[in-house]
Amino acid sequence: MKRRLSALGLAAGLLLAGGTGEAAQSSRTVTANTGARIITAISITKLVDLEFKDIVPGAAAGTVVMSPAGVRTSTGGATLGTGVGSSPASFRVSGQPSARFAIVLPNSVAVSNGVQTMTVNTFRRAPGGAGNLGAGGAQTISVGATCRVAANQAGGTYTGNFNVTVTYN
Amino acid sequence: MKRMSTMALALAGLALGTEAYAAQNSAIGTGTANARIITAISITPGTALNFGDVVPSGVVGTVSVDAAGVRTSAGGASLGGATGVAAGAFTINGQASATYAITLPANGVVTVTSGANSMAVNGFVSNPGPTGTLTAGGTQPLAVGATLSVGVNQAAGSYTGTYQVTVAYN
Repeated sequence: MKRRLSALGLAAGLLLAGGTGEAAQSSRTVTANTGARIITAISITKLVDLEFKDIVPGAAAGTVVMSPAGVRTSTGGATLGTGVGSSPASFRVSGQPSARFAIVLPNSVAVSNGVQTMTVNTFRRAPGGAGNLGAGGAQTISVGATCRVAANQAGGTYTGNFNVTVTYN
Repeated sequence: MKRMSTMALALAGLALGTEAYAAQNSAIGTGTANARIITAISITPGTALNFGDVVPSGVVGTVSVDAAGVRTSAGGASLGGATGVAAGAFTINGQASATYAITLPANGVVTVTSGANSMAVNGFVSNPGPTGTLTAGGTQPLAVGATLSVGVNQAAGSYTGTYQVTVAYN
């Protein structure tokens, strides 16, 4: 059964080839350009997590900002504790050399110590604008954000995940 | 029946193809955001820094108390009774195992006075210093010493003053 089917398929293929040849004899042939480029899939890998490190809460709410350049600042009732090991997040985007890509950061995520939570939002990145993979087919993106600290925020280590999406454009 | 399963297979193949296409165009990376909320740092004064009794002379001199509370004199000043001699003592409280910076008074800032008379207190030192590390219990004692400048025939009296020590997480 299987064998017969494949034989038929072959015959059909031959017939089609013959037909094309005949048509070419009785008509003009024009050559047009066509093409497709197969490119490397885009990928993104996390290199470093976003580390706000130590924050001292106050009687009033406040924020701690980690800039994409790695500068920590505080506002309101929150003040900075030890910043050793603090860092913006960084991601390595790889793909087709010289391809441009769009970057989507989260609006807001929660970090939790298992009981209480804080909001991390106002994500920022460097470089800004469209991503460009350059001749090497890779680009590193730094991501910072703002941690919202409530008045007398409970002590503990807070952690949460966030997604960064990159898309060829 | 067999024909249907072939069709289903073809459809499944198409769906897979679409997914693969989307995956090539975009990618999602997941990072983790971490922050640690810690206890505020505090410093509480204990024992006062006390130079004890000092005997002046016709020559200027100094009396020093180091962070261990050991007293020495130099120049025209000599040591009198040692009752009450002590390094300044403070207790630092805060986040377990955190490190902090200690800022002592600069020279020329602190004086002790007795009525219209005064003496300068300079050369502040501390143990630990210039940084400290809180214990697993979130505390650490801090001892402070300094040097008292005694003038020529410095007027007798009980001289007192205050000084500030600042601690900050670093």
